[in-house]
Amino acid sequence: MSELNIEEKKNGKELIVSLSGRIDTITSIHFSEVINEKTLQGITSLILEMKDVSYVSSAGLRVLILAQQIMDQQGTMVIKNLSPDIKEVFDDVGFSDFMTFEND
Amino acid sequence: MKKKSESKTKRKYILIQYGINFLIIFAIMIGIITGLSYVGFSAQALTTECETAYSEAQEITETIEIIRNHEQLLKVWLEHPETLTSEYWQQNSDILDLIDQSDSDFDASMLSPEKEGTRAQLFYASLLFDNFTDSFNYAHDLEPASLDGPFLLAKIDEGQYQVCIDSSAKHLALGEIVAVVSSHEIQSSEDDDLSPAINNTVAIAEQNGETLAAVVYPIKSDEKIVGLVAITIEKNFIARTNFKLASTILSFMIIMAILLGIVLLLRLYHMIVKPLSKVQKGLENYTNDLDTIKLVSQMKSITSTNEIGILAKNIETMVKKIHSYTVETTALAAEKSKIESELSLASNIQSSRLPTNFPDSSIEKRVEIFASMAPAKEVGGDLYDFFFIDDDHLAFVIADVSGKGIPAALFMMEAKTIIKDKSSLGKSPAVILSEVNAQLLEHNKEKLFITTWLLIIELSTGIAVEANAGHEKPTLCHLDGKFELIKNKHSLALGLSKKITIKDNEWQLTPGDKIFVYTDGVTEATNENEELFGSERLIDTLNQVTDKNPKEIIEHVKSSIDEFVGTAPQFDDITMLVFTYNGPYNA
Repeated sequence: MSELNIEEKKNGKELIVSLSGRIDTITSIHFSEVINEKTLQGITSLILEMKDVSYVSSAGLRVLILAQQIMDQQGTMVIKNLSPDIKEVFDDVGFSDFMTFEND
Repeated sequence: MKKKSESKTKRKYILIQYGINFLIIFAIMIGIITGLSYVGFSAQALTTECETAYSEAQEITETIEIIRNHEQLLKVWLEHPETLTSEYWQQNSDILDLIDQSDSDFDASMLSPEKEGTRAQLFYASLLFDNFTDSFNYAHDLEPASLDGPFLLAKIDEGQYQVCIDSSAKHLALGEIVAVVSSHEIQSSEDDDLSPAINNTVAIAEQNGETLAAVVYPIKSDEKIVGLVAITIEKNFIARTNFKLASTILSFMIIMAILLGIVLLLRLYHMIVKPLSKVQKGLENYTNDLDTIKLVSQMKSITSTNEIGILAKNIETMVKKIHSYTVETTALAAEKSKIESELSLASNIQSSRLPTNFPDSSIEKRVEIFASMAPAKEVGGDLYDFFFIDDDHLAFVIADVSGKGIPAALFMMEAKTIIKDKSSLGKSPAVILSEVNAQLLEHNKEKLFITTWLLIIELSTGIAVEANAGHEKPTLCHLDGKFELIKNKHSLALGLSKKITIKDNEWQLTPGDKIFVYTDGVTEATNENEELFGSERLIDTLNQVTDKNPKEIIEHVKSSIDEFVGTAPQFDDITMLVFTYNGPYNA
């Protein structure tokens, strides 16, 4: 069973979303309910804590891309502590230029 | 086989149920009232009859008390019972002459005992007896049938009396001695017929161990009771009267109950059962024919203003609502079916745009191509394409629009056109895709993007140039080899950002090489346990058919996916493209 746990913390106009588990075709639906145009209204800084994410499928990628596109209009988005394996996949598809990654 | 028994209750009718209820309640009420009245009347019955008897006895007593020395008279009768017959008077009627000769009222003591006194006395007694017997007999005939007597009782001793005149009645016989017990002592007796309500004008005579009720009037002489005039009451009279009265009341009440019951049931029917039945029948018909207008008019015809009237109004409202919902639903269903048929049409249009005229292997020797696209919904966002740029250059495209359904389908159709449009001779795939990216960005309010893989092969040399904008890794299988994933770096998908750096990759293909490309619908196909098909399983599956032609390979992968997925629904469009490079065939 794939599972995705999502925790949100809001500090004014900053939203920190911590994810753990797998972001695949099924769990990405839950993911897209948490970060989308509606939920990101008024947010100027979106931080995605991904250190406990074990897998991201293309469905998950789509949600991230959409979030990036939204935040490009109203602020910044940072993906933190993505595991090296997944980061490699992101690099493969040229996301390194498109998104911002940070490691603590 | 026994059918599973439904609790099918037999239909009951309100009127019958209520009728039975009335019956039981009335029966109980009638029973109670009859019982009470029976007990109550015991007190009354005696009173009326006794009053009659009492006044009669009183009258008789008065006539006796007029006689002088009536006490003596009684004594004589008792001592000389032979005088208590009318024959004695007839036998001694000669004394009458003596009476005529006297001056004053005849009186027993007038005749001296010496001069035929005793005999005269006796005669007198007998004469009077005769008179009284007549009047007593006369009185007897006047009495109501329930009473017997009157009897003349002479006192012998305290509580003991002897019957002197019996007026041919039944209860007591001439000369019989009875014990008269006063009413005070009676109340403790066990005789149920007589005990309830006896007032003190009634005494009981005891005779042969049996008790007899009687109304007595005392005959007094000098304030002392010397005798009684008694009128007896038939023993069963009280019980009979009570019974008669009670049964009269009973019959009366039964008749009243029946009439009342009928009236109540009729009212019940008219006020409740009839309109309710109307509602019930109306609804029953409605469930069969769904005729709203008929039901509404039936409900309107119920004019009750009580709960039933309100029920009818509510049903009217409800059925009108049902009607409008039904109309709405029918309209929606029609719309839905229209949309479905349009989608189906769109699906046909879309699939007809993807090339299915794979080159005939008998004519085109250099390559063998096969492809298929299976959308998750009626229309999809995946595309494949192949076309000759010129006779020596063949282009292959596989792409995947973000999302599914109509938006992705429209974007897909546009992208396909642009890709083909930009693919002209001399441009490398990287250049072509950059141009496509720029054009897509010109108007992309919906923020859709498309992963794209483009390969152009120079058939004469086998040199293939490939560019990958965010798409799945392609697979390559050399002749007599195994399929392997080709892990080059990809650029960002098209339509996302102007800042895109697409790189060309160059491969040297040799005859027999097979290339299998796909969209993520293949690797991300999910089964019921939420497991993914995955690229490893894909490679394994491909390596089962390395020697087959493109069509066979695709069919094998397809059935493999179907088997893996089982009954889980298809999440994403599944698209595959395979071609085999057979080398340059010079015509």
